[in-house]
Order: sequence, then structure tokens, then C-alpha cells
Amino acid sequence: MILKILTGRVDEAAVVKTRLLHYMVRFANDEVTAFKHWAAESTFIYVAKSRKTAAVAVTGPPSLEKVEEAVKRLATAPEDPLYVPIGGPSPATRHESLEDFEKLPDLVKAAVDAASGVERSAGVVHLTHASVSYEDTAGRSGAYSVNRVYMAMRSFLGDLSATSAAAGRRIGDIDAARLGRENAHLLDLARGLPHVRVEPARADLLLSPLVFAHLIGEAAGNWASGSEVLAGTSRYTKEDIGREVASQLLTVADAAHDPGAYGHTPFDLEGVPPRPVEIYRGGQLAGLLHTRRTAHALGMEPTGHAMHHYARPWPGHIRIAPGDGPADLEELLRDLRRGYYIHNNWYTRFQNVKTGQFSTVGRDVALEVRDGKPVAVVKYIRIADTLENLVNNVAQLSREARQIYWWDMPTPAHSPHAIVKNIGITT
Amino acid sequence: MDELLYKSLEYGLSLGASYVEVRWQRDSGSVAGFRNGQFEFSTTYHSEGVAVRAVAGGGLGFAASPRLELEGVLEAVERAVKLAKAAGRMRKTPVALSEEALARFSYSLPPIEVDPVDLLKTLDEYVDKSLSVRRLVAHVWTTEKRVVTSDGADVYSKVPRVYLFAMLIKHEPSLGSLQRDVFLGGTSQDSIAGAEKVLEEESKKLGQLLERARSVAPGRYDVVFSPEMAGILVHESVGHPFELDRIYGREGAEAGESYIKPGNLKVRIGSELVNITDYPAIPGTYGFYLVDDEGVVARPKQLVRRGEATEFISNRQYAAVIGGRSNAGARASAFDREPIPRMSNTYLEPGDWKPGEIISDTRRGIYMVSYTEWNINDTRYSGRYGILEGYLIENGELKHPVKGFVEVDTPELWGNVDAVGRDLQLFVGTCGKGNPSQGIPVTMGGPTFRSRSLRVVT
Repeated sequence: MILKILTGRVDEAAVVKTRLLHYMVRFANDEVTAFKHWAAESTFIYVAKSRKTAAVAVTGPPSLEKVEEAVKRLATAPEDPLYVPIGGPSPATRHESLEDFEKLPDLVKAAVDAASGVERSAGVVHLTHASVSYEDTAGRSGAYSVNRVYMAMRSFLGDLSATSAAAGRRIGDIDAARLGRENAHLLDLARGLPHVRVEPARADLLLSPLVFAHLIGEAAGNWASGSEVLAGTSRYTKEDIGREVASQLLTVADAAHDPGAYGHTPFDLEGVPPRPVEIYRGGQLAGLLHTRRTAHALGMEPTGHAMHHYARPWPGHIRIAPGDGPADLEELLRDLRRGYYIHNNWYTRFQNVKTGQFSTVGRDVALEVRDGKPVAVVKYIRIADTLENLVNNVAQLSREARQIYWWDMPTPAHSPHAIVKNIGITT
Repeated sequence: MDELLYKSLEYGLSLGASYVEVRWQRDSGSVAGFRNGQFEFSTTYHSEGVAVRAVAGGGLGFAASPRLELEGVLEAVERAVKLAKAAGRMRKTPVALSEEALARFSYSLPPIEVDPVDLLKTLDEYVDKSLSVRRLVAHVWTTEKRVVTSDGADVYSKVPRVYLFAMLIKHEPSLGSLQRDVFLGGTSQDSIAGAEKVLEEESKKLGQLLERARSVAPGRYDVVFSPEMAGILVHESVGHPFELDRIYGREGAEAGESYIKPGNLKVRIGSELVNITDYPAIPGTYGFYLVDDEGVVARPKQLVRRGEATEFISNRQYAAVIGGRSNAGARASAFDREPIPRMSNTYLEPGDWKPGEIISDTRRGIYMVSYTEWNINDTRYSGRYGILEGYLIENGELKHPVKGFVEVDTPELWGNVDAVGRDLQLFVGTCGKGNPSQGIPVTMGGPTFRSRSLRVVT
């Protein structure tokens, strides 16, 4: 209907309709604080005329007035320097029925029950059922519906805490009891150790999947995005593709196309199915993430990564290839020998996105390790360095990669543990 | 609308809820981006729907729907009550709300007539063209809300807002790279008056700082903080840890907890000169409101008086936990978000020093004007603030620009304050909290002030 109204008035139009059903159980102090359900129905309309472009996003059914608004904006808009005609591969089709949201509180109970020896736990279980349809004036159309679910739990013991997280595409993908057991285990490792603070220094770090995936997600979003390359905010240019820019151990791919990945998206806002994109391959910069517009501007192929915004590509799910290191935390600590284990992080801020100079605050238990054993709990540790040093100094990756997502992660991920050498820390 | 909202309240009560709250909210506006002088995007949007909170069976349920016909809203009410009962089964203590004299009130502000694309075209002319990156975003929108509750609130508000963001990067391979993020905005057209000048000055300054700033020698310095620094310091180390839901662990898994603990609320956090307030009803400010999203009338929240914690940012649920009254801190960012305790306009109250006097009274120190790469741990105890624009002070005089970081624990920062200026200013920010995440408009600020002997590192 919307396309019919627009036909003849604009050169091109695309309409994306989304319906997101969210079910969320939040808990704190071992009790549910809120059980929430909200529905978000949106229509996204893109119009183009004489190389000018505009977009309108409307929740609920769009009125004629809103459609008119999109057309009206074209009159005053400047020419779009990245304009590219609508087209490309056809949208895919996939349909899944909504998972049983009434099971969500059971996950909370299972996780809390398994966290033996902790004082209290807080967390969230979030199920999303996304239904999306796409239609444009070039005759392309498609529709999909998918489920996404993640759980994160933080457990407390005195002033110690531990967080575990899991993500998947079905409620059955979440092993809630494992989250509880892992929190209990980490708190047990830290229990009774002296508490210390660090002075600014460089050190070897063992990073949990939560931390490593967070920081690699920042690199993928800020440096491998076509719009950031065009803007000059990325560390990389198109000419860097094929150059060695990271540790040879590091292979990172976007996996939004993977039906098993949280964040799996059969097609993006431009109706383009995401392609598997290797960002780093054995330490080389292998590829960039694109919308059709950024790809055209850089003379590259679209990759289907207009995930949240039609102008700025962003990863949908990053997959960090595991290595051959041990899967067990104690064995990894032995391999680290001397340094610090950072279990979780938050509040990552950049002094400069282009140089990648950042700091991020250690959250939950951080351990000082001597002779392969934890000897102290480190309070308020920060990682303070550049993303470039981080990706270059990867020295070991564990053989097990976990699918994870939580509130403060830029992008869901599959990630192993990583040992990274000679990284700046402070307090 | 009246019939829709009041029928919803009645329906929720008939399903067994002891409290029902229905909020209709509409946000509509335009946002545009420019990248290095070129158009990047232009989007208009319209977000409208109804949120329902219910207390039933000892639990709290929340449901939201973009469907505005009676059937859609009643369905949301039904879900909120059902989810509340399910949540109640997993609670040891039933959810209660504080008793309040609730508002029945309507207010609106004049519209802001600005087109984001036109605004950016103009502003970009003023940014130093020698920068490597100049990325500008402008957002103009209006929020309308009507909140009714089963215990008597009925409040309508219409508030327009404008927000400007500029990311400015000067990159010289031989000298390095500097980035300045500028945030401007408010709830009136006047709030962006002078934006051209700010962007012109801030963009030119980057080149000068890049050439002249030297790494500071690590050590202890008396630090004189500008009003902009007072803002970020107040927001991070006092505003957030004073949110009562955080103190009681509700944000434990996400936005974190607080250095203030439930068993010890009346803590000393600063010297006698430290007075910190959060007040939503300051005209024109980005964090402006007169009544919160639970129908409680806004008033100044006196968070810190003479260095002691005296009041916390609360909603009705957490006010009830400590047996007090809500101070109107409940805010929701959109129709599909629940109202939770949030800051509004948070500031260090002015003292009686002239700003210049504080600098001339400092023998060896640093004057920190603006910041970069800041963060703080999740109990808001240990903070780090990068110096973007800062100057060495020697014998009361400003010397060359310096670069480095102030790393400071909250009690030390506020405990060592010995001079507070008269020059109160507020700065715009978007505060993050909640799950799903809610970015909420706030301001933060204060006057120039000095804190003695703080740790500065490179």
C-alpha cells in the first residue's frame, strides 16, 4: 500500500516493517524485580528522487501524513553523495514461531539454584521474537521471523562478584545452571585472597570471552565499518586490506548470516542478506562491513550490514576463531604464568576512535597471577591501551569459544579466552 | 483518550492489581548527520504507544503496546497484571509503592522550529576545515506524555528538545591525534544559541593543543576543575551512586551498584564545601520536567549537604523500601520503557570564590578544562578522567597545556575540595541505564572548584 502511494512521486522507495516481541525477566537479590513484555511495531520508509534521499521511521501503522513527510523532506534535502540505486541480491525468507516465554523464570531459578555458596545474584533473561518484511520499487521482497535469547547473571559474595553470560537462538540454547556454577567457581577461586591495587604498568593479561569479545567488537564496529572508513574515523583505509595488522593468531568474522548465531539476520534494512565477512584472517585485514551505499562509495561489494541504520554498517555477530589453548580456567592461568586475569569489563571509552586509544574498567573478579596461580584480587583495575596493541599482541586463544551477549557488549559474539601480552593497565 | 486510559485503570484493578499506571507517550522528530561537510543521512521518526505497569500478587509487571485502540491497550493491561503475578511468585517481599500526593496537571513548552539539515549546513561552516574528521549530528524532537494512575495521578506534558553532537578529530601523523566530542542542547530554541562559536573555538583549539600540550610529570597535584569537569564528576561519582534502585541492587547485573550500601545511607562523601543538587524544573535545560512519570511533582533533590549524603534519587517503589516519599526521580525514555530512578539536572552548588582567584591561589597544580576517555567502576568509587584541555599552574599562573589523566577515588575527590567558585554552568549529556537501555536527557555541571593533592598519571 505504501509503495503504491509513493509510486510516481519518487524515483525509488523501500518499506521495511518490523515487529519485535520482547519478553524480559529481570532479577536481583535472588528475586524477580520485573517481568516485562513489550511489542515494538515499526515501519521504515526509504525514498529517493534525483539522487536525494530521506527516511522515515514510524511505530505502529504509518499514517498517510507520515508517508507525505518522507516525500516532503526530499525537496529540501541536499544531494546524497553516497546515493546508489535500489537493487542487489533478493531478501531471504525464514520463519520461526515464538519460543515459550513462560519458561523464562525457570532459567532464573536454575541459575540461582546452581550458584552454590554465593550470597545473592542479579541478572536478566531476554527473549526477542523479530518479524521483518521488506519490499521495494525494484520488485524485491522478502520476510523473516527469528528468535533471539540471552541470559546474564552476576553473583555477589561480600564485595566480590562474578558474571556469566550465554546467548543463542532458542531458550534451549541457554544452559542457565552452567552460569550459576561458573559464578560460584570464580568466586571460590577469589575467596580469601588479599585485595590489592595496581600502579600504571604493562602486563600480560588473560581476558575472558566477555572482555575479549567486547574489545574485538569495538574494533569491528569502529574500524571495519565502511562508513567509518569513509569518514576517516577508522584506523584502516581500503588500501590496508591484505596487510598484516594484527597477530597471526587472530581470525575474526562477522557471522550475522549464521542461523545459529544470536543476532542472525536473514536480511538487513536494504533487503540484502548478510554475507560472511572475514575482518581479520590470520592477522591480515581481510574485509570491511558495508551497506550498499558504503560499498559503492569504496568500489567494493555490499555485505548486508545495514543492521541498525541505513547509513552506517555495523556487525551483527562476531565470531573469533578459537586457538589451541586449554579450555579450563585454571590451565589458562597456568599458561599465563604471571600477569592478570580480567573476567569482565564495562565503560569502555575512547580518547580517540581513530587511534583506538581507550580505557575500560575491570568489572567483577580480577586476579593477580604469579607462577600460574591466583595470588590476589585486584580492585578497580583498568585496561588502558590502544586497540592496535590489543589485536597485535594476542599470544594464545583457548580452544573453546562461547556464544555470549550481555548489556554492555557492543555486539554479540562467539569468543574464546585470550592471552594478550604487554598491555597497559592502571587503576 | 480519557476513556481509553481510565477504562484501562479500571480493567487492571478488576483483574486483581493493587496498582495500575498507564502512560501514553509520543516522541516525534527529525535527526540528520553530516560527515566532513557532506550530507550523511536524514530521518524523521514517530514513536507512539502505551505503557502499563501493574502491581499484583506481590510483583511488578510491565507491558507496552504501539496499538492505541482500546482492545490493544486492554491486552497490554492484561499482560502487565499477568506478568506481575508471575514475578510475585519469585519474590520474598512483595513490591510496595510509597504513598504520595499525586499531581493532576498539564503543561507544555513552545515548539523548537529548527530543521536539522539546515542547522548542520550552517554549523559546518564554522568548524575548522583543517580537521581530519568533522562529524555532526542534530536531533530535534518533541515528547508528549500523559500519565494516569489508579491512585489519582493525571498528568499531561509536551516538551520539545534539541540536541547537537559534534565529533571533531585533528590527526597529524607527526604530532598525533586529538578528538573532541561536543554536546549542546536543551528544551528551548535559545539553548543552541552560540553553537557556531562553540564549534569554531573547540575545533581550532585541537590544533593548538596538539602542537603545544606536553605529558604531565606523574605525581600529586592540586587540581582546579572547570564547570564542565564539575559536571562529569558530579554525574558519575554522585548522581549515579545516589540512585536508590542501584543502592538496593536492582541494577546489579547491568548499570551496577553503589559505594553507598543499604545498611549505611548517611555517609560522608566530601568536605563541608560540597553541596550537590538534582533539580528537574530549571527552565530551558535538557533534563527539564515538572512532574515525573509516576505523577510526583518535581522538587530539588538535595543529594549532598555540607559533604554528607542526605537524599537519594528515587521512584515510588524504592522510596517505599526506605519508608520515605518519592522525590520525583522516575523517568522513562520511550513508551516501551519502564520509569526508573534517573538524574535530571545535577550540579555542584556554587560557592563564593571567583574562578580566577582559585587559580591564583594555587601554587602547583593543573587547571582541567575539558575531558576525554573517562570512566568509573560500577560502584562509582574509582574514576579516571583524561585531560583534553588542561594547563599547568605554577605559583598561581597558567603555563603550557598538559596531557594526562586524573585517577581518583570518589571520597578523595570530594573530600579534598577546599575552594568552590561562583560560576555555575550546566552541560548536556545523555545518561544510560536500565535494561532495555534507556538513554535519557540530562544536564550536569557546577562551578570551577579545586580539590587538593590528586593523583595525576600519564
